[in-house]
Amino acid sequence: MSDTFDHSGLPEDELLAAEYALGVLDGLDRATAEQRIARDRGFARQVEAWEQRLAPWAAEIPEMLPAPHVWDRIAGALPPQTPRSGLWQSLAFWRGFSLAAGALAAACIAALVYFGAFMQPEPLVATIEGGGQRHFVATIDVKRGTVAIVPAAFRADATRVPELWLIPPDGRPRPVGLLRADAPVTLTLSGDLAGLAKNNAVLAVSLEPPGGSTTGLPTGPVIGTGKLTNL
Amino acid sequence: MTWLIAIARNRSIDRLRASRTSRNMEAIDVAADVADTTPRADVALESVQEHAKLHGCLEGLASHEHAALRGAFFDGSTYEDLATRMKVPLGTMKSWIRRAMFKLKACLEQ
Repeated sequence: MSDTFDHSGLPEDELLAAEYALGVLDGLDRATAEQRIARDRGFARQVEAWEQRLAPWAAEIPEMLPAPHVWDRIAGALPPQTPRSGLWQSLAFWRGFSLAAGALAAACIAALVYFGAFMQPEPLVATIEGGGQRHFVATIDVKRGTVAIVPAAFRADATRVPELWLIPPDGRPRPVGLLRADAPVTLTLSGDLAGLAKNNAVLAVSLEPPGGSTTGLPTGPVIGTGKLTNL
Repeated sequence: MTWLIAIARNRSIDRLRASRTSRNMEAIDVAADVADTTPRADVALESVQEHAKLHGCLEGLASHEHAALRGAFFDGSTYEDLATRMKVPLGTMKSWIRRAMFKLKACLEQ
């Protein structure tokens, strides 16, 4: 793709990165670019380079001090036991936040492996079916805290993406992650989710806008469900 | 700093897009005036030089290209908004912006 040139002279990938950084993309195009930033490191770097090129322009935006109550509300929204303030003010900290989140997930897996040694959990499987069709087959590796989803007869939708939900007995769907129509996907179950992935919990797949549901609950139609059972 | 600006802009753009039906847009040349009359706002920036360089490169663009980029950056306008406001077909606006981005990059890398 990167060798396709628009008449502008920039490779197509870089054009998209520039358009995203400038902010001229609308709706679906913007969401698609965002998804690509999350997936494609090289593309993300191109976006970053363009953001850097344009950043000096922001100096022309007049400075505005937020009202004092804004900080009070932010402080109120933070978890009660905040780490030392230096950390919260450090840009490097926020930059590393996603890394840290990844490390936390890894730690959760490690914890699962550790406890798994005592409990010897069996893998869980579910067939996600709906409308008389088998859409996906899911296998949960309880020990590692991962769920592998293989598409069966799922047909891709150009405008929406399939998202996986875990529904424990309390009936509230928890988002697990986005699926692909054309390839198996392995998702990591975060700490809470891993504990809820048990016999008789239900997996469901809904169709969501690119990037997935932003509300934390399914927003599109649920196309299939399946009960988890021990293998 | 760059990173923070990018996050702030992207969040704002998403907000704007979400509430776009309620927006009233001024004519495009108003944006140019507002930003240009801001006195010495760049003093606050870490690198005044970078700002000067970007400015120099922007000055080198055709005036319609410069106006389109300004509209996109400062108002968060989409291709469609810009095309409507500058009264040109969408395809033309796309070529303007793309061409301008190409020139801008080439100039900044000099």
